[in-house]
Amino acid sequence: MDSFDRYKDLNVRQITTNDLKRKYSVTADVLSYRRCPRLYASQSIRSFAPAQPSQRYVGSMIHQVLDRAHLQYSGRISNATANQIPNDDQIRIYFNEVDSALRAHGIRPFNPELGEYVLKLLQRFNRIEGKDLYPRVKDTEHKLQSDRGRYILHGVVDVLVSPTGSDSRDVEIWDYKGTKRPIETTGFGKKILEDYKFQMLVYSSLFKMRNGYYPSKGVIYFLGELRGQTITSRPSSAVLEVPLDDAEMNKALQSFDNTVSQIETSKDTNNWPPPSNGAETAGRETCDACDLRTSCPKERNKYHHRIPGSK
Amino acid sequence: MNLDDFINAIEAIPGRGFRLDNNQKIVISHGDGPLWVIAGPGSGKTDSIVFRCLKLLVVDKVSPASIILTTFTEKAANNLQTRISQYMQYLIAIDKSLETIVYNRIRVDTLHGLCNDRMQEFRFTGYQNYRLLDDIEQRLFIIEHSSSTSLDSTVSQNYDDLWPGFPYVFAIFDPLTTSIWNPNSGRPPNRNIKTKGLSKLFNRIVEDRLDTNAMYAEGGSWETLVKAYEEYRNKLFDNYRCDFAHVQLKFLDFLKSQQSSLFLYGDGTDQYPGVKHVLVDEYQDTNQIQEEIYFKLAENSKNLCVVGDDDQALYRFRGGTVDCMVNFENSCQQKWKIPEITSVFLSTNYRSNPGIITFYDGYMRSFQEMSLPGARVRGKPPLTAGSAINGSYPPVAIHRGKNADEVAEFFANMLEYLLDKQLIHDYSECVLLLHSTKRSKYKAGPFMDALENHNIPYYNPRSKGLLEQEEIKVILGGLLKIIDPSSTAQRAVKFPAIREICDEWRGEFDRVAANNKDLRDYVTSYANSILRMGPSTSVGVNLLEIFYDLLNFPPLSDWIDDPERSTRIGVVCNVLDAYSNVPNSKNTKNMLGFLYTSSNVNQGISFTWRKNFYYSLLGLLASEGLNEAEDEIENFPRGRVPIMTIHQSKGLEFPLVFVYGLSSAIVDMASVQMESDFAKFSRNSNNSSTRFTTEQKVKQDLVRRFFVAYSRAQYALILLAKRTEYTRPGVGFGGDSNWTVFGNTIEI
Ligand code: SF4
Repeated sequence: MDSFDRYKDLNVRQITTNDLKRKYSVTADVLSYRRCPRLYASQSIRSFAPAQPSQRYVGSMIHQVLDRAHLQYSGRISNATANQIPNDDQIRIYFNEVDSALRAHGIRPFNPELGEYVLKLLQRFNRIEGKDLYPRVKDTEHKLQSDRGRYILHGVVDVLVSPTGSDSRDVEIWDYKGTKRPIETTGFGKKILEDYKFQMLVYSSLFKMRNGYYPSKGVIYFLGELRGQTITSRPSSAVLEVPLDDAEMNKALQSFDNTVSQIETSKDTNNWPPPSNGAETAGRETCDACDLRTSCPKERNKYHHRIPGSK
Repeated sequence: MNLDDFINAIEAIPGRGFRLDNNQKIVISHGDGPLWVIAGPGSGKTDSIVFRCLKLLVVDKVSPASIILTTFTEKAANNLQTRISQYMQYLIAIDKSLETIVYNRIRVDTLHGLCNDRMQEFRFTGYQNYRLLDDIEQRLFIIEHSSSTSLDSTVSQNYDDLWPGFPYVFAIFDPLTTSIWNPNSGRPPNRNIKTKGLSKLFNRIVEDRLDTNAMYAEGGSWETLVKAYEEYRNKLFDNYRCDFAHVQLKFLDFLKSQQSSLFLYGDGTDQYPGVKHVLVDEYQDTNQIQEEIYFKLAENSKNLCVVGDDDQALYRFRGGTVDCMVNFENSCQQKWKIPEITSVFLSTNYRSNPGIITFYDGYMRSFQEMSLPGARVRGKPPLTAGSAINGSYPPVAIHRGKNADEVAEFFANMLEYLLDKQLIHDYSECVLLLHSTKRSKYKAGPFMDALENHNIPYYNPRSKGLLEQEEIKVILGGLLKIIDPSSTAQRAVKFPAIREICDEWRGEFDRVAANNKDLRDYVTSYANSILRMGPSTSVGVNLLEIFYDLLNFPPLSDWIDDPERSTRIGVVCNVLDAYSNVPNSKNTKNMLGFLYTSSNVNQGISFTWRKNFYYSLLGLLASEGLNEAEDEIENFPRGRVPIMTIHQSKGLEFPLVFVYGLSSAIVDMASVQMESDFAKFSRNSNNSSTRFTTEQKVKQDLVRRFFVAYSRAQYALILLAKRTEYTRPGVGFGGDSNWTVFGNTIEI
């Protein structure tokens, strides 16, 4: 070891780790983790790809078609005439474009009827809301982020809407949901509504951090409420307005921080259990679509091991 | 804040360790117009570029969203972003009024990220909802869709005269056949080799901005190459897919289109302020198409600041030639008619022990090839030492051992000694740099063995060893037992390498399943059930669903809760997903993940599908192996010695650096030859491809690579060599036959 002794004078200064910050988003991280840490770990930490990405079909389709409709109105799509509400045929064209593109990402509807159903919702939305809404849209897919010290918080608001159509500071943040409005009286429905409100509160705080003022309100639009041939005007159930209260917003940010801490603890301890009451917290639909359901300590009794070709 | 206050403030940032030197200050304070920063290793390059951004925000009040800052990897981009935010918070503490600056709107990204995100943000119609393919997906796409590689015998387009025209990409070692294809054999290479070579050629056509019309007019194999390329490109776009080369081309289209005007010129708001400043880090690895993008982005403002070191160029295989860096001034003159630009040399090194600096500066200068005009930026001054690191230990030392095993044993012993004597705090303060980190006898193998024997943890995510892991073999074995239960399709595969690896996986599955009855029974009944299905029908589950179904039984169901095993299983999941998402060439509405039964009764999954699966996906795995997943944020975990390729170590520094493979001549001949061969079709007149001979370029590339390796070291550089290397010392030993730079090097 003599030759190593030549190094006894070495005096290495300890490296101070300059930790890079991770990004956390409202929906993909915090709400997913709260729903089920086990599923979150497989999808977001170990990046397992879902076997049937169809669950994302409705949401992606709605967002992307409406995005095109908004862009057409603002004249930012080439070959589109500005200030014109797209008609049913144009919505179908956008729908078909998005459909092929989603297929490139492996996302397709469970069955063709679902595709038709979503198209109808979109056409109806466009007819009912277009005239009043499109002229007021200030921005779409509005990205927000904020440095929370330990981590970066980020989120995307579907549309910024100005109530007057003018350039005033009066701005509403809108979020489109492809589903029906959850029923407040069921435990799970209530929880989902809470999650949606939480999302709006966090977005409003982010908006304030970036623009220096709060949005006037948060609006959640449930396109699923437009189902049914006969609907020609907006049913009251389609819209949920979220009051944006200062104290509530701070509480939401605080609870966001807490969940991020929990995620980081889970990472350090590698502990990602499913929620103690399984589907009650995760949601039956989530569990039904979960690729790890048949090995889930909480839910495996409810699911059979699949053998193709047999019932 | 005015400039002086700003400089004073940043100089006082605690923990930075040194004051700004004059050249750094020039970089930071430069006003408008192009800025050319030639920054040697350890010269505070990253901080200079970050401070320049801050100066633009704080002193010049430039709108954050109008600044574009790009670098080479996502990790590096993350690092820049973190520094910007940390320093900004520091400045805000000094001057409250800076709080209103929304600094996180600076667009810090890799160029690929920038292209993808901006086209999406501005909804470029030519790029709506494209799937961006990585290297693996690109190859799977080519093998499925190029008519030259189609398994379908009815496809007549074979491109037969293409292969002999480009022997440097096709006559390469093929792990599947353990041989090299002979261009004079009159037969085409196999699909695996075709695909690998084609992906290189296709990427190069795009990245070098070649004139395909001129290539076509040349006739012969050039004409055929253009046909094959166009077929690929059309199918790619028809299927809403884009590879890493084409995403840049699409972005150029975007920049040249009307749809980019809001992005480039803005509308006067802070949200869309247009592009006012473009800063590019690691510019020495920029390729032609990227250069064109940067000049287009900065066309309006001319505020293009490029930072890099021509001596550290490593990426010729991605079309990166050092030319863009070396000729930056010429390009500004030619494209923008700017007669003179500001250039700055950052040549004070704050990283390394002065003895190490003298060593690697001398190393670079010992090569006659490096003093040829065009090899380095003209007038580059020698590096000077700015760090306070010293001590009476040898800054540079060499160990010569009998053979690789002995050298590796020495390495492990030394690490043990250093930690034992508390001369280092953690193994991650040392790094082993190699040309290839594959676990094989001539590469990282002996080192991994020695470290394991000494119980020293190491981190080598790119050892291509994923397929060696128990859980991976069991899963893939189980998968094969379901989709090809009696190995009929496997036996029809003509490459022994594919058959052998599949047998190994099946064997591993059987071994584990022997003790796990549930798993065994499940796989058997699963396979039988598929065999009983009617002909030509959907199996009802897709490829990934079978993968997930396997995870339900012990021991796999336990493994998915193990952090390391499950992360590796995640990699396999993604590879299967990539394959599943390739459109089926016979019916592009279906993806390859969709399973259907054979048209013959009781034959299970379609024979064609199975054969294709073996040849394309498993062929790729068998020939290339698979790497572990890497954290996007952390470079390397504490407590373990990183084993890295020199390429991976780019931009990093380590207290102690060990380098092995000084005589290695592993070079990327294909890229050098392709470059020379393609030069005549280049649209760029600055192209130096014809200036140097192939031999000179190969040598220059190697010298730069060793220069990068040596200049990572802060306290000590330890070179590891086999005794036999002394009889015919390679490039790592220096440029003259006496290897004088090693004159003062102590042997340990
Ligand atoms: S089945 Fe439900 S509870 Fe269990 S892991 Fe999946 S989502 Fe979570």
